[in-house]
Amino acid sequence: MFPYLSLILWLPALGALALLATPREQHQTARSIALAVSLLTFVISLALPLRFNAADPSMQFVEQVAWIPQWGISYHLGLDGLSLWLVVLTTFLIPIALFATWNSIHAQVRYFQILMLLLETAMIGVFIALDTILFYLFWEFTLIPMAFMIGIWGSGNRIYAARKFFLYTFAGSVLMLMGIIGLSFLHRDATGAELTSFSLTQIMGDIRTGAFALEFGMEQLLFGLFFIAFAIKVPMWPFHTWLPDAHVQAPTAGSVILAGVLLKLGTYGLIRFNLSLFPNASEWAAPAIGILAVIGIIYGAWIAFAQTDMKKLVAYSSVSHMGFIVLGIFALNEIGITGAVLQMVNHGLSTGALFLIVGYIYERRHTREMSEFGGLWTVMPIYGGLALVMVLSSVGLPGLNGFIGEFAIMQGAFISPALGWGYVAVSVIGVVLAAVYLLRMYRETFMGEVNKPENAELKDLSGGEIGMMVALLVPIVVIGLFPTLFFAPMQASISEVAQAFRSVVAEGQ
Amino acid sequence: MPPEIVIPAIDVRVIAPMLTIFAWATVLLMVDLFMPGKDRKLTGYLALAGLAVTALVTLAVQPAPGTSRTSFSNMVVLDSFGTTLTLILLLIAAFSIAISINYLSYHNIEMGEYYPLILFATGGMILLGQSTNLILVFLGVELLSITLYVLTAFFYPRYTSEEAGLKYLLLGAFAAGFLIYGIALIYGGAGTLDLFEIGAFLNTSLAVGSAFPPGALLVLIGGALVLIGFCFKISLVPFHMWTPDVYEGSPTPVAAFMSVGTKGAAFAALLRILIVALLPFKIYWLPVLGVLATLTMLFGNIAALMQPNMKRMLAYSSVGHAGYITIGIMTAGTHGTESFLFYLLAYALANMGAFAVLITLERRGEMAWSVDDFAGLWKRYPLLAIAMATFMLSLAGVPPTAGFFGKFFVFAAAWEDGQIFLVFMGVLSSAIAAFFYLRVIMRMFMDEPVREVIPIFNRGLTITIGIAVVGTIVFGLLPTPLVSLVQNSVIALGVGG
Amino acid sequence: MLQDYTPILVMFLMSLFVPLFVISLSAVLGPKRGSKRKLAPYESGMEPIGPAMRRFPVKFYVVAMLFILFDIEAIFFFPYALAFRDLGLYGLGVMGVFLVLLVVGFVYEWKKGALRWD
Repeated sequence: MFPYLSLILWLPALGALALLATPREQHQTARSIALAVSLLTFVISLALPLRFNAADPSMQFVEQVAWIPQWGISYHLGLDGLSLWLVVLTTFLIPIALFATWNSIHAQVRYFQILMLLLETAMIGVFIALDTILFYLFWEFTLIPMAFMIGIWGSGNRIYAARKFFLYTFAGSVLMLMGIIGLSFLHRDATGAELTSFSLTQIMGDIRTGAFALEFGMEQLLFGLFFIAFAIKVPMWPFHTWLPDAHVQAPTAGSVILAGVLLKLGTYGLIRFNLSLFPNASEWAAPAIGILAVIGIIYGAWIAFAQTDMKKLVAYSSVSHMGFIVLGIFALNEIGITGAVLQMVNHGLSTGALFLIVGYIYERRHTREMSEFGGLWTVMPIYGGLALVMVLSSVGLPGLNGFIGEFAIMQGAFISPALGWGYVAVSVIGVVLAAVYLLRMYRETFMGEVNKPENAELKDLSGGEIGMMVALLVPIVVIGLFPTLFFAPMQASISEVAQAFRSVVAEGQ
Repeated sequence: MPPEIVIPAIDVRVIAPMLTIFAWATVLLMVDLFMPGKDRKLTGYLALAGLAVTALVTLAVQPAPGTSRTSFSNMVVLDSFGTTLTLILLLIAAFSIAISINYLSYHNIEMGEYYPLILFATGGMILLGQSTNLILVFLGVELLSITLYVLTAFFYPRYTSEEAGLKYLLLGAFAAGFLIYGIALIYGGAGTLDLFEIGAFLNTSLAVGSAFPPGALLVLIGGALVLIGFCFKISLVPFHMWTPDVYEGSPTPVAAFMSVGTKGAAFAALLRILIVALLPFKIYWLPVLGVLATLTMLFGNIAALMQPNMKRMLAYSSVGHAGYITIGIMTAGTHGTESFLFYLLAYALANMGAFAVLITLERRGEMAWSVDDFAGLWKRYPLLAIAMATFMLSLAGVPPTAGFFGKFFVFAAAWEDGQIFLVFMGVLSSAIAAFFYLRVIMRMFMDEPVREVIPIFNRGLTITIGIAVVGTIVFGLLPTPLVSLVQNSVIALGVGG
Repeated sequence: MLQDYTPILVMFLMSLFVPLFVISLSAVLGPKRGSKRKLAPYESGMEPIGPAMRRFPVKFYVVAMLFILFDIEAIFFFPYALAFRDLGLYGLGVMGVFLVLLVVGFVYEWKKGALRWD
């Protein structure tokens, strides 16, 4: 069988190596190589949904090679409905981010491209690793390129932001390391195996068959260790404080990747680890986490409303939107989780697009204050039109992608015995607030009169910029109109995850 | 009629590595004496050759995994744990010499004795790793310490170096007092200095009586004193006060050598004492070491946070790492021993590398080693910055570096042993440690240079940094061969076999 | 077991007591009539020259260390001479190694000029 996953995983890293060989000063060459490599990766990754067997809930495209056999650690890759779209989202957003930096990154261009490609490898690795140690390796490695990207190419208080980003997530992930170690040793002792196994599929399988049952207290502990790591990454309220700093200081491409993919690593981990491995503890913790998620939704929206800096506004809107995704996950039923996964993709697309939109105007005016703008619609009509679509997508207008995801999440939370209508009622306020702050941003910057002379001369979007927007627009519209196309491959895998809870629910009735 | 003198059977293979290195050091001292000219670099190269020869001898006498040889009335043992440790120590010594060769002449402190002293110290370390008799342990500690007293004060006439030498001497003598008094008490209690026999004595005497037999009590008190003596050597909190001053004052290669070599050897000896002799007392020393390890990890890393001086920061970081290694030796079932060896090698690579980078930036006649000198290094010397970043990440335990797997194995061994709280303190303190390692990286990559510092490169430094970077990354991505090596390094628990 | 050490304890206490007793005895019994001459430091009947606590050349220390070195050699060689026959060739070899090491040290200090006084 053709090793698709290894190819997609290592192609960007190889591209990064190749970039090291290019001359330092030839910026254009470096940009072209990086873009070509990432586009090639994207094209190859398109084979994944095409060859994906939607009816099969188990891992597909599996590759397994012994890595540290003495400890039962292996190089183990695989893809299921949960990770399929996230991998494609990653390979899709990277070329866009690279293209977005074409004219905005001028210093040490080659290294920027190298870091971007390494980051791509690391992020794809997180989504497809089926060995916990391999997962942890990629998980940690996403930190290094991103911290460097913020710290070197960021603006203003970049070092502080980079450090905060790194330390917050690192602190969380060392706890996860403890959880990983504990999980494997408990698994070894429970199954009586001679060696530890760090294979996620093995452990998950043993949990589902009941061969590996955790004591409830221990399950809570492990759940907590994993949860903190993922909650910081998501970021859930009250662990979110690194996010606005990181976003505001990061270069546009960094923000796109950060919001588009990196945050999803957290929510992906919540489903893959917390829900799949610790169903009882998940059930136990769901109401509390639901409350945190709802607080995040309202808090993020509230703070976003108070922002005058557009990038900060979008950053806080991420906190709010990620709250929705967590709410969907901890609805613990099929529809909620499906909505959450779809919303991960949606958020990646629309928030990525919003960051690009803010980036465009920042490149032209070097400010992001809303009060500096007004009436851009008349000066830059194409920009205004595209921005409107993206804002509406983020708000959740029916017919665009955001609506489907949010609707499914609400529905899931509503019927969930763990959450219920109260959570939905409060989070609906978040939806309303989202419409308020995003449309206010749109009104203040695009509508009205051109009241600043500097803005009258602004050039509309270039061909390349329009191209990027259109590229993002296509999946946004397609998801909005044909959501089943995207739902179908997820279904089998997600119902497998939700199975554990359904049985408990059935017993309860 | 005088008593019959029995000469014990002697197996030279058991002490072959030590014999080689001591003989080489002695001859080297003479060679250096009669070598004309002021240039002492040749002595350094000859010392490196000696280390290589010793490594070959070690490989030649290496016993099969699981077997061991003893000799000199069971005073010395040659097991695969000992030989693996010897190889790691030889590598550390080779790094130290490689980074010293130009350092000494650059700072006008070049004297030929330096290299034989390093060899003697390395021999002492090997002895520590192989001895199964408390007298020999003491001999190893003293041999190591006395050479290091001279080496720390080698930066004559720099005051801080003399201060370092004196401080190390006084505290070393203090520690030796604890050690020898503890050994005397153990002898008083058990009637033997042989580690195997002490273990057997404790097993029988604890098994027989329901009350605590007085002999065992003496051994317990003696063991505590021996532990205190070792705590000074490996600088566990609260016995670590000398570490930053001594590291700062001594020549940088010596500090590098001490930070990994001395620690590794002393830990190995302690491991053997705890596992072979004092295992019946595990219920007593486990909590003590657990508290010490926790304190060490937390204090070492928190103190390192405040240091603007790189050398002191690395000193405190080495204190912190001693805490992690302690976890490894505490849990020395098979996995603890392995994790100790793996951690030691990973830590040696990263720390030697970091000190080597420090040497490239060290100015003649200056005692600064400020983090400021690292600011903006990336723009001027990208490869050096990347190397330093690799070492810092490895010390912090971020994958994909060898340091990550070191930490992973230590934590895994601790969890397996049921020390979940220690694992938690370990991960907590490594999160704290990430702070200051990251600060160096941030300064290098994201700041503007504070002042113009032109690094000095020479062959020894370049090769050391190169090997350390490659080793750190390769063992971080593919630790498999190293894991099988350390897994086969079994500690001899009995005589023969 | 610990009782075996009682004589040592007794001896320790005795050795502590006797000198203390004698010293205090002279302090109690002895007449004390000091004069300037009497209170001056005793220096072989000569006029005291300068303070007694002064630095003197480091060479003295080197010589002292050399003395200890050869002292230990002597300490090793006396018992060896007694057991010479019993130890046989093995003993000869071991003492040979010991002697070689000693000679190496001696040659080293000679070359380094530790034996030169000026």
